[in-house]
Amino acid sequence: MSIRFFNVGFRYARGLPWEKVALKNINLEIRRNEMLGIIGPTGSGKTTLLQLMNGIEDPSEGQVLIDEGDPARLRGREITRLRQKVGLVFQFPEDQLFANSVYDDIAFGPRNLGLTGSELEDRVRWAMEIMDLNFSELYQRRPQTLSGGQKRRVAIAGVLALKPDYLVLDEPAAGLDPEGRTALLALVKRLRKELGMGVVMVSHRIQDIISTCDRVVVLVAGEIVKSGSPREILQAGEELSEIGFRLPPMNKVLQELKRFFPHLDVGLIGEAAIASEIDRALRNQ
Amino acid sequence: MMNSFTFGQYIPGESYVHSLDPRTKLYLVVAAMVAVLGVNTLWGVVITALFIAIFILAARVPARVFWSGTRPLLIVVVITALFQIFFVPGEVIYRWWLVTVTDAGLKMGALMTYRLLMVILLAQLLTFTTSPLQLTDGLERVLRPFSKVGIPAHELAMIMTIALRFIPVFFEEGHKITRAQVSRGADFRGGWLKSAQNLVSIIVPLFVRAFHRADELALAMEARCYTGGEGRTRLHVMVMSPADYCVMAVTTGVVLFVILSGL
Repeated sequence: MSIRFFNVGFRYARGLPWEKVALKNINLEIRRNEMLGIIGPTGSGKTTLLQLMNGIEDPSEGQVLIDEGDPARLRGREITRLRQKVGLVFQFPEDQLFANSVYDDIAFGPRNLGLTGSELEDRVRWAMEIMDLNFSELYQRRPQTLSGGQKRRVAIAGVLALKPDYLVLDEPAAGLDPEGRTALLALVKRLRKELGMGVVMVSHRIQDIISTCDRVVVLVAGEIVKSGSPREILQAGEELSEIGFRLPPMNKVLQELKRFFPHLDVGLIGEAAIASEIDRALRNQ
Repeated sequence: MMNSFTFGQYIPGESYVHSLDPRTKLYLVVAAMVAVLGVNTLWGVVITALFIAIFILAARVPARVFWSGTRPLLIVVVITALFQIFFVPGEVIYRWWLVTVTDAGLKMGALMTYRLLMVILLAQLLTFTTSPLQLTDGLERVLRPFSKVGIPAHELAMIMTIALRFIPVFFEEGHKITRAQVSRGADFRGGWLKSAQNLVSIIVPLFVRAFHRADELALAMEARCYTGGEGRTRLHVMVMSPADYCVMAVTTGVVLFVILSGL
């Protein structure tokens, strides 16, 4: 079971003077129980790529298959059912909160699926629990009165309440303070571990991606220029810096030190591992 | 992100029409609209159509762009035309059940179609060739004499500038929120009651965002010491060129001719 892209291309405003190629020649597979990270600079087509993943946009060329279903060919109820498999969390999802209470907002999705009564309540409770939101304390609160981080988690819970098989997140930690960022990324990581979801996360911060994802895809100007494990991506760090990516500070240090210590392993993740690698290199000298 | 929403967009260009003074274009478009709404005969249609066609061709905006701006409004044109055809009294040409078509109705239908299409094209000609900033500058200048009788020309122009500036932003935001709710299973094609309920899920966040934006903008303007129009000078001073006077004179001539001769 997976989401698959076959030679997918996408253009905006087809046939108008401001037509723009957003994606070209994308081949990609996202499996369940896997966490895929997508990094790319602004305007590289990240958001467009995500929207193709649940059939909200159809590709201009090629084909996207969600568990063998082709969203471009389905209509009506069938496409709603297919979309339910892929939960899409937009950038700044708290902008979409609309209901008078946290409960009603999270229940919006499941209600659209036809859930009622205790089944509905269980679903909302479940989604809030996963997102680390205290049900009895918060369910009656107005979303507007919550803190930024809480609003963000309520919005994500609203998507999770659909019980999707895949969760696609566009810059989930953008605009949060460092603490909120770490907390949210830890929650996202749990989704895959405990629920076995396929998780796709987009960020322009390499740091967030390499610390959470199993596999990383680098998108530049609508094309995949590199893909591999976080380790492999970091080992190509020099290339990435040239394209304009900013490496995590510690990896930047490693990269610079490599000029003096050619045997240094630049694919390490985390400050502890990097520190001991530098220590080792200095001792061996 | 630019999408396929065309009506009201500015299409940057170097054409002769682009380089006209915004005041000239405002005058041209308003006068031509008056003429189009006033014509009653085939000759009037021919003359006004030729006159407008010259400027549309001179604007060098691809026909496709005009078409994609007009298409969404065609339904209005068709409905208006049908109303004219079926409900204007006159000599009956065709009758079937409750439907009657008269000769006067057919003529009015055709005329209304022509008028509406021309009004749509003229409005697009103006926005395609004039940047929103030029447009409101022009309006402000045109309205300035009326500020003596209490019409706040500068403020009106500023309101228009802001409105024009934010229309695409709201479209995009509405688009984004709609998509987010659709991906949460909201259905806008089902029964109208269900659709109306789901509409709330779009309208509420859209308004919340709009008020936020308005607050932010007001703060940003105040922080930059904005005080309104009094004593304000301009970066781009508008100057009428001989070409502008020429276009104005020709426009006046054509419009007066069409109206006074009763074509």
